[in-house]
Amino acid sequence: MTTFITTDRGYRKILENKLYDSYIHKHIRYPVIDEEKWNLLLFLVEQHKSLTPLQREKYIISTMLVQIALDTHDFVPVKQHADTENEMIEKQLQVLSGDYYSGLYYLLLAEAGEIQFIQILANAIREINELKVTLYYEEQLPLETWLNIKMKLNASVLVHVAKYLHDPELESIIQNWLMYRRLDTEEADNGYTLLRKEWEARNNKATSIPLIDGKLIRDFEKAVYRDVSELSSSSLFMEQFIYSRETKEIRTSRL
Amino acid sequence: MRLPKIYGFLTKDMDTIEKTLQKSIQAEHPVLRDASTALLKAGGKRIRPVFVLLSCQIGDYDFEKIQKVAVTLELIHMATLVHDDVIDEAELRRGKPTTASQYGNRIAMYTGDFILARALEEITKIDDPRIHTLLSKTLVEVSIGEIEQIQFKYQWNQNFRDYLRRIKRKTALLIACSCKLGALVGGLSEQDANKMYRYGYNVGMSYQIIDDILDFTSTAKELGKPAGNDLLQGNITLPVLYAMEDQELRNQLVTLINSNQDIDEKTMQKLIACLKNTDAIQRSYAVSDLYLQKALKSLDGLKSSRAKKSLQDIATFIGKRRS
Repeated sequence: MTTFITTDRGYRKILENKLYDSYIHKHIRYPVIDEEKWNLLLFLVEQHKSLTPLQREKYIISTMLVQIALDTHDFVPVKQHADTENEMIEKQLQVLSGDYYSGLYYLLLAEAGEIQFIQILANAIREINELKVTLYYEEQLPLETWLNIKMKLNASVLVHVAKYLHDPELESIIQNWLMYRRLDTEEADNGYTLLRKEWEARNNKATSIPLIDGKLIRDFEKAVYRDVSELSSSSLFMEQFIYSRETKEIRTSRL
Repeated sequence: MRLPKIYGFLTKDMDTIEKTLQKSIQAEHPVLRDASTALLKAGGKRIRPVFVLLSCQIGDYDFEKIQKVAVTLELIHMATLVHDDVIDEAELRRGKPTTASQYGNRIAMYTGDFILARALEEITKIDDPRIHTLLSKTLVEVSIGEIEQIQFKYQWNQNFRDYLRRIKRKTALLIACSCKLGALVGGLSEQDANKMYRYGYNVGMSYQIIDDILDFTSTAKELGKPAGNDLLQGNITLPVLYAMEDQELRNQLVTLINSNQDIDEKTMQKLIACLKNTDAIQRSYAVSDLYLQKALKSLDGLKSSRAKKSLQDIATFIGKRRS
């Protein structure tokens, strides 16, 4: 456990050094590292006992760079023409910093000779952008489809890594876990989930199927524990991760 | 002579590459598929795949392997273009609506990311760390170059080195990389592969300088955008740097471009005429020619072949470009 904490800080420092650029971050906000994804990623990589320390570092940093590159591009404004020079620069740097982080992920793995892992992350990027287009372009998605895409989008990078390092059966538990944790944190921070707000913004409140935060969180939490109970022996380490995270947060179970 | 005629013997292979490109961008979502296909169909010179193939032909030509590199380079170029149009708020590219203007910024971003992912999926079929190290370093440098371009906009005190470093990253490195990747796959020695890299680098520099000259000497119709557009956007290029040695013209330029007012075509034409009255255009051509000569010299010592002759002809063609 001590090693885990030490390396967590070490990896974080390496990532932050790669992300920081004084010019870029004078104009746009410094990228947010999703703590839930970060913790799960560290755990997934740590659990793969045959990886060398160098491989662990490269896998962790490159995966997070990809996640941050993708997230960065989601902040490119929809508005096509900037009103001010400052707005223009912000938009331009939002585009270019995402491209830069993508380049860094490729460079990091290329220098380490990790060609297959480059491909795994490229597969994830392709899949995610397909999903993003569906979500953005299809205005009339039914709630279930919309939720399913949101869940996949949220977890796709880590799902690809988990499938590569461990077992395809981890897909469902990772998707449900990351969604559950995201919603739970959003509700704790804001008193509501951003997912619900987004659904309401997309749809006419009066006619669309309403989303109820508590129920939504409970559904994902239930799905996590259902997935835990169905894990095969080779993936049981995920159970350990989930219980350790839940205990750490000392949350009252909604089950 | 038209450029494609120089490498006419590549027609069959280029057709195959075109088909592979088409296949590579077949996304599941129709909008993503249409946006990517429109980009591809908008054409372009496919000059990077040509450099890749010709450089490979200097050595042992394995089309099955080299086409993966050629396709990757073109996909990367396409991905860059679609993001560039978001950055520049461009409405048209090669006379056609840009992805951003047709589908919006977000779809343009996702299309660019999708195409870049497809490029990396394609190139990782080749398990050669030298290729990935070179290509990834180039991608990072190109991104830094683009960021620097923004940083240096409206920076009237920048010098020639700043400009040259910027166009190196913006244009020359990807062409240099195309040439060296072709050479590596063709099994050339490290020394010869580096010659190809220098060739590509110098051709790229020469090409970009001429592009920057043409921004002032071509018509809007020839350019597909208003003449002087680079300057309007605050990009200070070689002809401008030379022209600004004339203090009076410098003051005029800086005041006008910094004024934030809409500059109409007539005013821009007047400005361009003033710039042409200096020796800025001729001196810029002279610098471009220096790079061109260096490019040709880089090929010295490589065995004579049809491919080498084509590379020489392409460099000369690029150097003589006047529209």
